[in-house]
Amino acid sequence: MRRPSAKTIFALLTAAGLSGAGLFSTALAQEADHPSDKPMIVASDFGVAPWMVRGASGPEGFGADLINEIGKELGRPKVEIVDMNFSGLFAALFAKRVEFLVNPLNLTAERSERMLYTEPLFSTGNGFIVRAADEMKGFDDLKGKAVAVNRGTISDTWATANAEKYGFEVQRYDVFPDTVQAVLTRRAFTALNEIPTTVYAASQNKAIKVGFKDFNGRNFAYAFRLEDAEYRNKVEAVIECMKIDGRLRKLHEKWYGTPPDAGSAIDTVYFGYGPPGFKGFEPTAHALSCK
Amino acid sequence: MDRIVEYYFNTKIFAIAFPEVLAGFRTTVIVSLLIIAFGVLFGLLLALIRCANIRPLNWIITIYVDVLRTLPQLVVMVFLYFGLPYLGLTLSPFVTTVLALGMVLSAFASEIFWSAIMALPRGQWDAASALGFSRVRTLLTIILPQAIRLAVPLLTNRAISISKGTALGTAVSLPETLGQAQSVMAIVANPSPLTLAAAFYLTFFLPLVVASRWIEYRYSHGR
Repeated sequence: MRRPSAKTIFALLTAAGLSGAGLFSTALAQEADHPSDKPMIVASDFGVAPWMVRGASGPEGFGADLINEIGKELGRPKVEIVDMNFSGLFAALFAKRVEFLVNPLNLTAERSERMLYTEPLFSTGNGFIVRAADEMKGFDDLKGKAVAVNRGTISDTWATANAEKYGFEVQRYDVFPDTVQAVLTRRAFTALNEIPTTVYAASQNKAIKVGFKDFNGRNFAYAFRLEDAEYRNKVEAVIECMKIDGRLRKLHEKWYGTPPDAGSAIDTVYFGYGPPGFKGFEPTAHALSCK
Repeated sequence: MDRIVEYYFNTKIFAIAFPEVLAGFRTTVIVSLLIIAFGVLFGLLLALIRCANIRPLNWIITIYVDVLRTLPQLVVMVFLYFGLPYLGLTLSPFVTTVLALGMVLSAFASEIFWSAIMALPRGQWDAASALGFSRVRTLLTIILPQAIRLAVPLLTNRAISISKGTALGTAVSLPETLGQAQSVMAIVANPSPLTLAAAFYLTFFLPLVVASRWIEYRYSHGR
């Protein structure tokens, strides 16, 4: 076997560097980034029960079932869910380490400037975990106390924006379970997270309860790179079919133990592609070809 | 190229992130300096206690040093932060980070000081005692100045590498440079704040690295 010359190696490195920098044409990149014969690679932060947790035979939960179903519908041989801290998810998406994000990710105006969201697929809001013996009636009970949040999540954003207004201190942790630990070890009065996450955590641990729920019209949706509109639409079409035939609703009942609240995004098919009212929304009617 | 500018060198994002990352940087600097001060001084103290040659004390110090040299820094930190409250001791993120990394540094420092002291010829002790110096006086005025000179090059490297561990403080909610950058990054969905954090780390640790080179040079050319 001939050894590759220095020139060949240089050429290869340059090619790798260029493709990494994303200089290939968009069409080429689309197929190369989502090869239909390779496993689908997506990312989520694990430990957010019952959305995504590590089970005996790989990831389990509402989010795991949902993305596996989508992968199957799109004809991909397998779905690989990469476990990543929340704070690393966006960098991984932009660096093309993953195809899109499947964690419980809130839809916000700021984020939709840089990522392409699907339509809402799950309704949520602020849930406050407190120790079983404590009481929380409303935001005023937070005065002079510490609120633990998962760094970089929408809860972090909310807490940062409201810390002064309600007079509390914000503690930021890398993962959700650490925020619960902070409450259990009395470092924080409450752990703030998505309502479904807090309800489930409280159902698993007698030492804590959900002290206060604040439904505020927020939604989760999957997020893609800006140039992947076509691929986003493909995934969204599958989600819409799952809403229509009730598969999404069944998944909710399976993992959360209750049917979704009336008017939840779980049951609502939105017009067009993308999130209505946010950047990345394509207000064009499309016919669904559900199986 | 456009992508890397958009995601890692976005000036608009830099402007948004600057105040938060700067506040984090202040914490990083203070915590790092405290780690170095605590780690080096406590390590020196341990090495001096070992010189007294009291057997039970030596055992305790050896166990302390070996355990801390073995455990990953993050494990020490998480144990102090989430473990001790169950024993009734709740430390702040700031104190936890300084204590955890300071303890790790002290373990390495005591080992470095100890081996430097041992590296000096025994004859110096004997000569001093022949001249009527007490053991303590020999240690403080003859042995230690030479030992410190030997120890410094090893010590500066170790001190820098451990104080860089302040970034691990994010795990226990210390609002330092990296953590603040990550928070902003998630809000604006753009990793540019990480570049800003890297720049801040450089402005602090680069002079430290340069200074350590200078100290090593000064000490190795014995003056």
